[in-house]
Amino acid sequence: MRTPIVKLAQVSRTFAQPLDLAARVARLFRRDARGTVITAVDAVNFAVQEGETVGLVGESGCGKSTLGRLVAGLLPPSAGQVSFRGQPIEELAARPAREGRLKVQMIFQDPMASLNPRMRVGEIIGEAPMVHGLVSARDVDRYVDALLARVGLDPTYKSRYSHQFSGGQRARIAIARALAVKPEFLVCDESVATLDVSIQAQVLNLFMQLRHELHLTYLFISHDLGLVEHLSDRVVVMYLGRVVEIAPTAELFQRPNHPYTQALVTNVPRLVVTKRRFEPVPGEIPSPFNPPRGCHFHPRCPFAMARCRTDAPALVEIAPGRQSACHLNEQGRH
Amino acid sequence: MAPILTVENLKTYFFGRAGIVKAVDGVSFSIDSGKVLGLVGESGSGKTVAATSILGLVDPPGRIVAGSIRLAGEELVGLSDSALRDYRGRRIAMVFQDPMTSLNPVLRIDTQMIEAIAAHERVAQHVARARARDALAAVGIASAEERLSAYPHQLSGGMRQRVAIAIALLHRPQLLIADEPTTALDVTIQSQILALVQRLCSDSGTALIWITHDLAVVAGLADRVAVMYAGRIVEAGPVEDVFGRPLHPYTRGLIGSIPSRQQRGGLLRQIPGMPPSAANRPAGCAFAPRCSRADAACAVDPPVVAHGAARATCCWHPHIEPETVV
Repeated sequence: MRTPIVKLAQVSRTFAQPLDLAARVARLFRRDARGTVITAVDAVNFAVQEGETVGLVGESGCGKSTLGRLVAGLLPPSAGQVSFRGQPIEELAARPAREGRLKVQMIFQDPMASLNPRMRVGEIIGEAPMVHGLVSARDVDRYVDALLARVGLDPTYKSRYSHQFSGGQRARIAIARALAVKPEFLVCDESVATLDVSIQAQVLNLFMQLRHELHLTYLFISHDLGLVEHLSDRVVVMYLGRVVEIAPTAELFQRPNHPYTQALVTNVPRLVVTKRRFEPVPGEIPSPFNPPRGCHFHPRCPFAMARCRTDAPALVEIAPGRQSACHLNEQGRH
Repeated sequence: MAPILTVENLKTYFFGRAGIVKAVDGVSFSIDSGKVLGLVGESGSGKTVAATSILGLVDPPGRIVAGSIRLAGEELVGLSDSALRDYRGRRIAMVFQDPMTSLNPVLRIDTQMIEAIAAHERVAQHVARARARDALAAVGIASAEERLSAYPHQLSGGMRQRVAIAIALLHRPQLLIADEPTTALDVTIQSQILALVQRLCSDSGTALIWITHDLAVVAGLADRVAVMYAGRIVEAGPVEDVFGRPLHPYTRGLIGSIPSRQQRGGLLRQIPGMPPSAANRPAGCAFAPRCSRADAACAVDPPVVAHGAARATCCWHPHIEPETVV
């Protein structure tokens, strides 16, 4: 098997909220006041092969954005190891590590917040490749022009500021900025979520064209299952910090294994015109501050057993290329 | 049966310093009791302004310049503020996109609900409170009594939207307008809210206008759908007809833009260009600059043409199948 371009082994990320003054004072009197710790990503294992598009889905608070940042190297993991082409990132010497990191770029949800409002578009796109010596100061203009043309923008726009563009154009600028350092792997975190349907289709088509032209690998993070189904080769489903299922796209949507995936897939509104009764999963998404014991999904799961309340199921292979974390699979009752 | 709400040739303009913005520019539709109308369109298409016009909530510099809005036969355009206030909340209610901004953050849920009841009825405090509790239970909020004394920030997003729906339905309105109420919610929670609204409206006979940019939500929920573009309804009809055989090139483009399993991995049939800004619309058909079928005829405003009893479109070159062309 080929070496995956990015591999995560038992990667966890916790965030701790330090005690505020009042709580510190309280601790002088009783010992049990402790800072809150959230496990945003909990021992996640998965690998992305070169040229693949992997969709990462889950509801808000499930840790998908944090996982995206871990993959992009914007956050160090609290535990576990992220490897790039078989090399653990922290073991790489400074220079190769920097080059490795350039190869993985991230495109954020809201270009209005991720593009510097006080820089001209040409500067936003041209700065990183100049700093990293990918292009000389003399050639940077031509380089930026070519990138803008590639993402479907008029190169004469480069002296404008980001607020002078529409949402769809800003999304294209964010893509051009990421492409400027010649990445091999793009992490797209809800990159089209704020766009109108007709503009979203244009940007998605651009993503698909770039994938073929530049041989890119994508990790596509989205809450929109229809979009993930359209774009991805494989899908990773997360629930409250844990990966609950990994499967090739067609199989995941036809035969979802994990009860949570089943709930997601049946609840996606579809453009199939049949007036139907919505059959929702009961219950709320639990707070990540205080996740349920055992399997995180058990309070909402129609098949929950006694064991689900105490043991967290491991993510195991259930068929070639398919993994699921559910106790039901061991009982052969699925 | 006469429709509960009839909107005819509604025009709501905003008179700004930079010129007139024709946010809603000649919109007509109607809805029957107990039915669901999906009003779909992209941002800036005028769908929210159409809804606020019905409620008489258009703020200056905007105003309704022409048209008629009739609820159960009574004209709402031109009513005084106090007469409109009597309608709002009692006969027409609205649920907004973000319950965090439509609920008052510094008042407890019971205070807000009792206030909403007392606005239209003289009832004792404890009676109103009991009604509020029942309303919360009816929208599926567990331990309603405790939730009554919660503040909005103590509830989850889905729960807040349930409270907003409970408040909207307190007076059993004849018409409920929901403006993107599930857009901010997760898939499984959205599904709960859709199920809830579908059940409550069909039980009480409340007509529902569901405003959204998400065609897929409308496909499963609505009886009829109206597609808005640049301040006008470009196509309307029964949901299965409009989505199954769209007549207007914009509707076709929208449906083609949605990623779906039929065309997995393929390029989407995108619409070129961008929606025009409301302040600066092209003359004639506003969609013509983005339309593959546009020609010289499209420089003139297209009329609304009926196709059969239930469908209408506003286009010079609709996609009509050969056998139906006379």
